Amino acid sequence: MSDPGTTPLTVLLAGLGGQGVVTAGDLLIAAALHDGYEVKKSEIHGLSRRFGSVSCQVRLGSPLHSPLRGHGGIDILLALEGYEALKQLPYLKPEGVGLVNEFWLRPAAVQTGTDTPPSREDPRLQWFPGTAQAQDLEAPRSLNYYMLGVVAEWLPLSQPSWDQALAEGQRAKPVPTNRHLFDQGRAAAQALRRRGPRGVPR
Amino acid sequence: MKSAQKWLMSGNQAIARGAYEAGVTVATSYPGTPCTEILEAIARHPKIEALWCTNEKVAYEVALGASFAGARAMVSMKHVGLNVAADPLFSSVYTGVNGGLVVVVGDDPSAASSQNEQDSRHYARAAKLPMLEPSDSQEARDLVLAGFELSERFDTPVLLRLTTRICHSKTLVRVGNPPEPRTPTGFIRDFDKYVLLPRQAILRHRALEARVEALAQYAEAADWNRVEWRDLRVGVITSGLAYQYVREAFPNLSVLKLGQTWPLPVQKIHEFASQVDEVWVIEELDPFLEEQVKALGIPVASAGWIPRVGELTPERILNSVEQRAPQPMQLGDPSIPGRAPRICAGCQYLGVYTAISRIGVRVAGDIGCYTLGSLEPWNAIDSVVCMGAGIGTALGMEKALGDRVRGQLLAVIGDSTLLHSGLGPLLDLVHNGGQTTVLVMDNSTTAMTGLQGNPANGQTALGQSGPGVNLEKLISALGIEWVRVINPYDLAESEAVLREALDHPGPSVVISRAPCLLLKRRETVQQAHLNEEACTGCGECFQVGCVAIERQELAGHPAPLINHDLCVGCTLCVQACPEGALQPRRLVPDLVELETCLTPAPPR
Repeated sequence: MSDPGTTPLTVLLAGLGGQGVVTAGDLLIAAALHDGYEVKKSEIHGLSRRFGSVSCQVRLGSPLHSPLRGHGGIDILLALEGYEALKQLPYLKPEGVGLVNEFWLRPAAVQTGTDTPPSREDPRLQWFPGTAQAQDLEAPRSLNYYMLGVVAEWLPLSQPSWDQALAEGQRAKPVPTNRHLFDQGRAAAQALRRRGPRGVPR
Repeated sequence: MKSAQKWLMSGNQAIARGAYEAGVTVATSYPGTPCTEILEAIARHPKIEALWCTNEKVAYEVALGASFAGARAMVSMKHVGLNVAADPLFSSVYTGVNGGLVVVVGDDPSAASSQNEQDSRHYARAAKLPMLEPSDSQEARDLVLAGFELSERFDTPVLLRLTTRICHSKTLVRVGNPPEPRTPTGFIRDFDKYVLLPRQAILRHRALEARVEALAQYAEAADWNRVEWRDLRVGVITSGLAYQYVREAFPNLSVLKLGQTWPLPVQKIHEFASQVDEVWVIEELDPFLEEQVKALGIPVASAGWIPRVGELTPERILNSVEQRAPQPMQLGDPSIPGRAPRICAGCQYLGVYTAISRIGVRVAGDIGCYTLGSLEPWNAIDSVVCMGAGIGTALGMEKALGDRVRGQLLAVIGDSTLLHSGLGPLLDLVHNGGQTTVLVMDNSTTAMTGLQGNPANGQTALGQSGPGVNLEKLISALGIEWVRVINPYDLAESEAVLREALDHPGPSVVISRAPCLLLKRRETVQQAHLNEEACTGCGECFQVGCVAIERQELAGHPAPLINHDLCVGCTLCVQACPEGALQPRRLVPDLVELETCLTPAPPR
């Protein structure tokens, strides 16, 4: 994985319209800015609102030129849905890591009867129960914070910067579950790394 | 979001910031991806007159009028919008400006949200106006300011060309101070400049040719055209976002980075080429720069390597150069099912398209959310070309085929698109004795681009609201006597009225009217529920095409599985079910918002 001190590190965030993918990317950027990194972000807009795919790339470090990378250029894939994770795998570096929320929303072609269950067998993918945790707190909209907590464990950003980014990210009315789920995600990621999961490079 | 003195901004936001700092008085646009957010951001500055216009041609002319009056003005649009505005564009280059005029156009490589992948740079050469191309948000802001200087210095509109990835990428921008107050000079009568009669046109054309030469000379020293010397074995000529990709893919090569891509700094290009062993030209879409460099007699070693279809990435450029041939577009894994955009659960279009597919007619479509009716399960649209094309193409089919298509032709168009460019064709339908039926999908907003105001709903960019135009009266005034309004949530009525309209001897218009669901907060509704014993597996419910209707197996036949997190209780599937197996039931007090209702469904 790239060390953003010498080579930019690229995170691809993927999910569905309404899951908070773009917001998660903005919070990640805010934390990186607080730590003094150079940042760039690229978003896919347009038709995503209608249950379509949403993705964005966040790059941090220097020298930073392009706001996006192509196939084989992504260090970390952070996916809020299973199909979206599998779809983006060509972008992941061979030594990269995919952090995926355990949640599947079947695409239309699958929904209307032509299902082909995709293979989940890729040693780079790690699965996290974000949706279940968010639903336990009756806060499905805070799922993106759980997954941010997960990816925080793989990023070289300081805790004070995360704290500041999360605090600034609150709208007029603070949502306590956001912070709670971030911490839960981070704890889950720490536990996974202590157990020494398969094939995750450090 | 701000870092020390820098703000993190999208290209669109940076353009808006540049307009603000340049002291723009009037900004105009018609919504369209990737440029919609420019005017939305400008409209937040209280001192700028921001206008959504009915189409890009009007938007251009309003901005031009403001310029004639001595104000700085900006007009922004997507690439295909510039086709609509091309007429005033070409002639305004003849008149020139008074206050600065910057024309922002957003191209869409890969056609992520567009009907074509055109390269608008050709307009600069064809219309003979200077063109600037930023490669990130900082340059987007800077080149707006530079563009206004250039516009006023050389008495010309300036084209600022963006691409989707510039518009929607966020990079840090060092912003400047708020502008000094500017008072427009007022319109100063100058017959030979502003009145393009044939004699004046020739006079102005002569002045224009001299201006292009002066602009080319100016480009030689302009700081937005810069040389970066590194390894001299290869020199890359590039512009826009392709510059950033080149730096990423080939960090050690020398680069001539062009911020002004028309007219070109010929001397600078010659000097650059003379210092390197070979020249590559790397650009997105057409070989616009490559052809100009070749025309200077400079061999381009990379000719034929760079892809011309679909957007580039650093990796795609690298692979194409390594293979000495264009490499395919980089997309997600094709073996994983994709998510085509869908019509929202409970949208009025579900009802209309279910009715249309039952009738079985040829449908000339148009551009908007309703274009999605061309997809499964309705397959209800047979042609989509450009904004406002549906009515005219339907009339053409009718004139070509006469009685063979009598009562079998339908043109479908939305309210905003009708006002954009559908009224002329509708008038032609009347004037030329057409009998085509036109279905106006009125959802009271410009929905596809994010709920902008338009003359039909009376909402302006600055948030003022008026009554909006009365579509029935407007259409009647054009001379169409047969006009009916339907409730698209009544399937039987919709089908019956559409059949009646198609049978009518003469032009007919059906207005399907229901506000876009995204405009409404969710209310208490009765959702659809399945009586499993009554379901026979006929599949009529699937023909409604609602995202809330999933498929399950029941007693050996397919049956609907209603996703109650998505169902908004529109009852269209209830009406479609011939067995009465689907019934509205159970009051749900608090439906979550449409975009956020996602519940787990384990992989099968």
